[in-house]
Amino acid sequence: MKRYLRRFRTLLSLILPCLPLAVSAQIINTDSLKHAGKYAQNSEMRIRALTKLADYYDGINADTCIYYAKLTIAEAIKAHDIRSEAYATGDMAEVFMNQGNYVLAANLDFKILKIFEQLNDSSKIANTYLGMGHLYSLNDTRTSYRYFTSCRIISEKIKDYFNWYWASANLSKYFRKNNQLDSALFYATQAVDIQQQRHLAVSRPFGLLYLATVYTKMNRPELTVKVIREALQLAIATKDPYLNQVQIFYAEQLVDAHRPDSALIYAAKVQNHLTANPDLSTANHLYKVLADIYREKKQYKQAFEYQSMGIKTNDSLYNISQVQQISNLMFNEKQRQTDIKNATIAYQDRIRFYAAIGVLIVAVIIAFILLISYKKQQKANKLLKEQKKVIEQQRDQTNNALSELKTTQTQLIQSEKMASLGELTAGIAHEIQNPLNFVNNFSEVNTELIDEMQEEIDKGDYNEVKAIANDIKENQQKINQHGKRADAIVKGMLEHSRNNSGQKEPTDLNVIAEEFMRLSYHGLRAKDKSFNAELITHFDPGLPKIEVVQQDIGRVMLNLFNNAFYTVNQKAKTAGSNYKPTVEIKTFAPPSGGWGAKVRDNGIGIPDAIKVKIMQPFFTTKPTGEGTGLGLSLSYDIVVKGHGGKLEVESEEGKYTEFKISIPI
Amino acid sequence: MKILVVDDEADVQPLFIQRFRKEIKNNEIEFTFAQSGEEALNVLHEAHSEIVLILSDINMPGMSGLELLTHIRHDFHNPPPPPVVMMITAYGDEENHRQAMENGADDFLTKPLDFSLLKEKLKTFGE
Repeated sequence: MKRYLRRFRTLLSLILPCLPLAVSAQIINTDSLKHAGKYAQNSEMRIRALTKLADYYDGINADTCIYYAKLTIAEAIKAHDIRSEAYATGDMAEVFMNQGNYVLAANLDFKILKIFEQLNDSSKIANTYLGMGHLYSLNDTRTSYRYFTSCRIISEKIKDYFNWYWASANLSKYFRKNNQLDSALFYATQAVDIQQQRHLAVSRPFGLLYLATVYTKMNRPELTVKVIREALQLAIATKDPYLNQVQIFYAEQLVDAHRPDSALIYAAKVQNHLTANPDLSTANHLYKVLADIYREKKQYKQAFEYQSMGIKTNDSLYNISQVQQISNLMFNEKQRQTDIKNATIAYQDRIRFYAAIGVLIVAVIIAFILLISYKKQQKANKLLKEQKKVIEQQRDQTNNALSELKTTQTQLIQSEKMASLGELTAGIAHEIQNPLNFVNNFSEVNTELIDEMQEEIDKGDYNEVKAIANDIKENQQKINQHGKRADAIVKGMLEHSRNNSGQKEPTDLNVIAEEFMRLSYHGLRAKDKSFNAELITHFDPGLPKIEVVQQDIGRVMLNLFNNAFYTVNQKAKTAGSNYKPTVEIKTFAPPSGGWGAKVRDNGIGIPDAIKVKIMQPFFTTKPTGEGTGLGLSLSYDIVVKGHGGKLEVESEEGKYTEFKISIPI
Repeated sequence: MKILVVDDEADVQPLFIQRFRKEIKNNEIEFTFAQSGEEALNVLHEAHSEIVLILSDINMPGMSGLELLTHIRHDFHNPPPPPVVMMITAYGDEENHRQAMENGADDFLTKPLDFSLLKEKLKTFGE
């Protein structure tokens, strides 16, 4: 739950830059947790420590959070703890969302939603719906609305007041934005009521602020003021984190009620608080309100100063986090355009007002005021236009960087493909030279035999002629047989290159595994003659055929075998003569159905410190130039993303490594 | 001259017999075959004094040709003079050649086998 409370605040700070990131500085002893996460005997304790670490770094350092969430997931998978796996996945989804990677976040949310449905964990389901509602609120409010509604229905049913509160608050906002003010009022009231009746540990002034916002929009100033006053008193009494927001909102109401002096008192309080506790987003909102106040007081010089300061803080605000900026660029721009429109409308209104007075007084003054206003407007517009231009430039730069990155990635993947092609070719060359040896030599022998047969015919020794003819026939059969053998090898090769379309077809994966084990083995032997290893195979013949992209799964098997042979070969170079390099493949039926295999070697093993990194792109332990570091990363993508399967690793340094792959039907 | 041919491919046997049918008919050469390094060692233990030349494939399951070569060079150095050993491989690269020679091979041939070249070499070694 903590997760979405935090997520909600982060989102608020994106949408309403006025709300501060009231992240509670939770103090925990990370060192002892790190120790427990690594060395605790009991896997349950390790998982608990790692989960806490992931939670702690969430919001502090995205990369570290992901690192611990991944460790948690790995541990949880080992311990078959689906719940912890899903919680950690949720943490990752949150980080991705905050980084603006909405598609990835949504995918993870869909995934954990399924798990929570299986676990029948209604509270977590409601919580995940809440998160997805926020995720979609930026660009697809209709979908966002559906998730908030689902969250409300479930949490209402199971009396999960926390999720119910946030769902109602968000539904109120949705209806408010859509001008369905009765519904907006209903949900805002509901949120406030739930909080009061259940004494929820969420901010009451915040709920009241939502309620007051609805009243403003309903044009009910007296109710607005009543509610916001309650919020204000409460916020002051409880030192509520949303006190600044409430005061700013109250100041706005006072400006609207043409009481700029009273408004200034509250604005000044916020300003005082800010000098001690600088907070850009609050400052930004405050400057806008101050500009309005001085405009109302007709002190245009100050109004203009605060407007400029507002623009400046706006700048800094959106430069704070490059990542945040990228993801919100489009959104900010929209908001900016609306601001421009509003500013224009406001100025036009004022011009009309001055004109009316001017008619009564002097025509010259009208002209003068018009001129000044016009110049001001032009200046403001110019500033805003420049702002817009800068943001557009930044957006273009980001887009360019992204497309460059994609090109580089494609090139690297291509070079990895070429590398595995090279390894394949060496294996195939050996396979094909042997049959060729027979085809060439037996056909030459036959030519000689035919010459001899002619000699015997001339001599008239027909018994000898018959004997030679028999030899020729047998040789001919051998030529044919070895020709077919070469043909089969070439056909098999073509089959792998043909399936470039990436189409899935029913495949006997045992056959693919065996074939690539041989190719990998011969590939390495072609490079290093001294290399030798014992190959042990245990194929379960009862496994079903699976729909896979043959070429892709072949590449995965090739990578796993190449790594296995590489590591036993490395160990053989230093270990004594007693060491017997062994690579083993075993296929089995995974509990979830489908096809599973273990590729095990008794090579140098993987140190714990790098275990989490081996699936990362570009990570390699091979000397520079020998490995692209993309083999396992591509394999992981193929198995997990391409086929919905799993790729796991177990290893003990100096003893063994075992990769476990499973592919569902 | 007795020659031992070591190769895991069974068809190597009829191939050698046909390629050398004249030499066999004229009792110039006699062939013995083994399909693995282990089998070759057994043959040598029983009759190594008769075998003057060994032709061995490198790439075989179990004991490889290079291991066989090492065994031969270590275990059979008593008089009579050690047999001539030629290695055969489908990988005709420098590295293979170097390793074979370093391990004590007398010559190195690549598949597909060129029998006229092989006969030339046999003549040289037979003298």
